[in-house]
Amino acid sequence: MNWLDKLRQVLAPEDMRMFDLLGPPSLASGADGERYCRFVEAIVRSVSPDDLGDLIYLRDLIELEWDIMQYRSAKVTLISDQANKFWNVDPDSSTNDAATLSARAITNNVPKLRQLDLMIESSEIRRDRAYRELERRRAHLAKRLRDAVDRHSGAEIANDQHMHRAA
Amino acid sequence: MTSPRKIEANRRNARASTGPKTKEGKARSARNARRHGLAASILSEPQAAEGIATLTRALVGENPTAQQHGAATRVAEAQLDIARIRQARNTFISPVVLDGVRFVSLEKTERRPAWQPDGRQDTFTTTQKLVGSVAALAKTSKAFDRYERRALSRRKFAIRNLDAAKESG
Repeated sequence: MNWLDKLRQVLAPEDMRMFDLLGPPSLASGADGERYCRFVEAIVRSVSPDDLGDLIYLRDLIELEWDIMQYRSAKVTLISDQANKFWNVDPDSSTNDAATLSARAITNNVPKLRQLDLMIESSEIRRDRAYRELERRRAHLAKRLRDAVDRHSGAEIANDQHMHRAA
Repeated sequence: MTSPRKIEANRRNARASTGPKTKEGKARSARNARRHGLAASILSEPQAAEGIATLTRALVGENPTAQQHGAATRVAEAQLDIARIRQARNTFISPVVLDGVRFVSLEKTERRPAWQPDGRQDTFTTTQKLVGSVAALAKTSKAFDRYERRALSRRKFAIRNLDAAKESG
């Protein structure tokens, strides 16, 4: 079963229909589809968006957070692979402690790590913007609700006063 | 100095080289300069229109005002554009990153688009070769960021307009 079929299983049909409407979900070949599905399921179940506008931003957040996790994981893999290579070259060396090997691995891969950092930073900026837009929409909704409640309760009070005077 | 006979032969040969003749050849050469197709509007893709119409209906229902319909269409266009860009990004970048950033050398002879608008994807090996190096990854990543940023900005203002149109409508 591929990750897309798995996603169809874990999400409610309506949530999956909404996801499909927003464009085909995509995942890089070689990525852990099972893990991605669990991640999407956890987020969608805990938030349950009922407005398509909110779901658009939720999808952004899921995809950007996933990218960030992948890039961070790539950094760890890069450093540990390189450290292992150094260890394999000379297993008996006195400088083979974890800190030294990691430091050598980082020093040897500065351009790659810097590129990954830039990609993480770029995704984080877009993720934070999505959070801000969600908050803005929610704040706007809260203001509209407050105005509606104020108007309603104002009308109720005026009505009560009118009834009181009439009595 | 080139002889008149040679010049005449060159002109005769040049008249014969007027580009592709067949429909397939013309279609192929029309895509010569195409790299990933993201600079073109999503409306240039024939299958996009249906997706945009469906998403627009989901956003505003069956009987929207003209203002609501316009705003929802812009949201739908931008959203599907973002999905297209992310799909392309996943094809170009992530396999290399996920593979522990094990870059391979760029082989120019095999350079061709790894992502096609019809969703067909070329082989993983080709994608790796396209990315090639840290410098190439940086360049590709920046290009995708630029396209995505523009689409996100378009969508943000379209959603705000749609919210305002729904309130006033």
